[in-house]
Amino acid sequence: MVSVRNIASDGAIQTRPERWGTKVRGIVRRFARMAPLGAIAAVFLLVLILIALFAPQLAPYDPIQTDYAATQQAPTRQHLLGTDHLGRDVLSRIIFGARVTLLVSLASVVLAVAIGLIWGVVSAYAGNRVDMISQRMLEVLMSFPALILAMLLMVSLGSGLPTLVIAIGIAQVPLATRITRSVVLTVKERAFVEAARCGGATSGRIMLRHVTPQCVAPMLVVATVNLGAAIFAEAALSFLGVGVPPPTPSWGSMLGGVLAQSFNPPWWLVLFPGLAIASTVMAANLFGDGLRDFLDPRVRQR
Amino acid sequence: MLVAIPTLIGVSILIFIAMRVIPGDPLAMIGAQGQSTLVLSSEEKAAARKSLGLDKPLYRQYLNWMGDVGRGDFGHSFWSQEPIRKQILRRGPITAEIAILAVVISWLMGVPVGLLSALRRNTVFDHMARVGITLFMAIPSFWLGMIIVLVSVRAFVWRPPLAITQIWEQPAVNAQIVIGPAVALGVGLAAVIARMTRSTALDVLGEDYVRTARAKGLGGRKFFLPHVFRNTLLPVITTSGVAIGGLLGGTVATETAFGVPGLGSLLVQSINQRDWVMIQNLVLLYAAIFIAINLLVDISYALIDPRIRFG
Repeated sequence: MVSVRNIASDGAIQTRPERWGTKVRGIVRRFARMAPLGAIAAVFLLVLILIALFAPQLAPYDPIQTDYAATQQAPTRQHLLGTDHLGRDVLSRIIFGARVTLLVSLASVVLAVAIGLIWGVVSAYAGNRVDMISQRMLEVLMSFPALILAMLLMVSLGSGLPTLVIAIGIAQVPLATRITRSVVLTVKERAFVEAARCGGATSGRIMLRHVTPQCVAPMLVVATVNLGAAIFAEAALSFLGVGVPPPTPSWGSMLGGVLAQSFNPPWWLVLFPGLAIASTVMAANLFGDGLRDFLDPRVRQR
Repeated sequence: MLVAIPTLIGVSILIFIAMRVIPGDPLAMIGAQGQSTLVLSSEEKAAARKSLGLDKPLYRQYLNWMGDVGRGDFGHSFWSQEPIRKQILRRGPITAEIAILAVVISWLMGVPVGLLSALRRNTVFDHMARVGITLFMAIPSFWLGMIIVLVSVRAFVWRPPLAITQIWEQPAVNAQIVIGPAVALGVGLAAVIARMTRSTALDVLGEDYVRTARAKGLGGRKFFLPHVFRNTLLPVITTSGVAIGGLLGGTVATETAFGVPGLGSLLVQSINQRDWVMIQNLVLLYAAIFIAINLLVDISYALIDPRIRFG
């Protein structure tokens, strides 16, 4: 337990355990100083998470409620961002669309990092044949353009929210595995691993207790750097009609639905969902860059 | 070079598992998804199964597919009965043109912006370039494509032609098809390349040999070309190779946004129709092209960097 010393008024040195809150606040403050853009991006993402959580309270209309009396209306005071060809409120659909975007991108990134961590640690620690075979398997996965691989998996597994997470996650596994593997290859030669082995620790225990913790920081960076790509992938797949099945609103499928209607769509149906995607991808990218600078100042971008 | 062949076999096995083994019967997939109105009677199904060779064991089906691909025969579309080879030959050139043009655009924009940004570090130009890079890295190419179509329809009452026109038939019409998607994809790739060029150039500018060259009094072209430019290029080419994977995926969405009749829109169409013969061959084609590009990138190292030789 980390503790700080306080000198009381009478000069006695008191020790009290530092509270979690103070520690977190310190980290946040340092992050904001080192990566101000990343901090702004983090605030944006937090606000987006709140919007997604409280979507039913925030959205002015039901996102899937059609209203044939008010189809394709330009932005007005009743419908701030207009309505689509079925009279559904665009603002409400964007607010609810944040749920799909965040859920799918976060879950797929976590899945990719979890698989990559296990795969990378086992492959690098086992070495020899196991490592060689797993490297060849990774090469196969990396031979697909990510979006094409995700499309193939969507066709194979059928459409739906869980399969979307799996498809996007698997397309990101190679990067996470490669980075874990390279970290483990250097870590396993270090003295503390040798010491643990001399102490009689089993391979499983060394992998779990000594090697894996060293991979946490790099994986955190991989996860945030991949977040932008995952948001983009979800949008692109939904745009192509192989993402979340309708009527669940998603930013990508809003754009795709417009395309299916006509090639000269109303501007508000094109502009607003696209802005939502672009600003979220940008926030995720900036946060990822900031976190990388923060955790590994050596590779800091100038 | 030979390493590519086992990888390609692995790729084909993965596609085969994804398309045939996991969904079970590909014919069942057609009716089940509710995507098509076609309902096959059990006799029709049996006949179709026989003609497609689906009554044979899985390993025979796989070997048959590989044998066909090896002969350059990709089978027939399940729906139109048209040879898939013909479709690929007709639409492939359009997608290839878009991808090549996008890479050219991204290099012409990305490399100069990245280099200038590094050489004039912390000037107004540098700041503007960095804002632009951040912006265009986040804008999805298919959205940019939709905006380009929207603006051109509204402002110029013009929209890209929908029919397939090859470059050797009517170059002017072909250019109208290709230019939009190429720009939409090229700008995004340019941002990635500019970012990579900038950070590499900054590293190179901090190297000892650059300081030595400057101390010797070298300036201008004599200093820049051999010392900075060549050494910046190598990592940038690597990035391009990786980024082309994103580009190939991006062509699918961007072609759809423009309504361009390329391979990407063919893939989307065949997914919507559950045309699994078409899907498995197209995905294999995309992966093969990606593998070939990465090989070319590896070879181009040796041509640019004399320190690298293939043993």
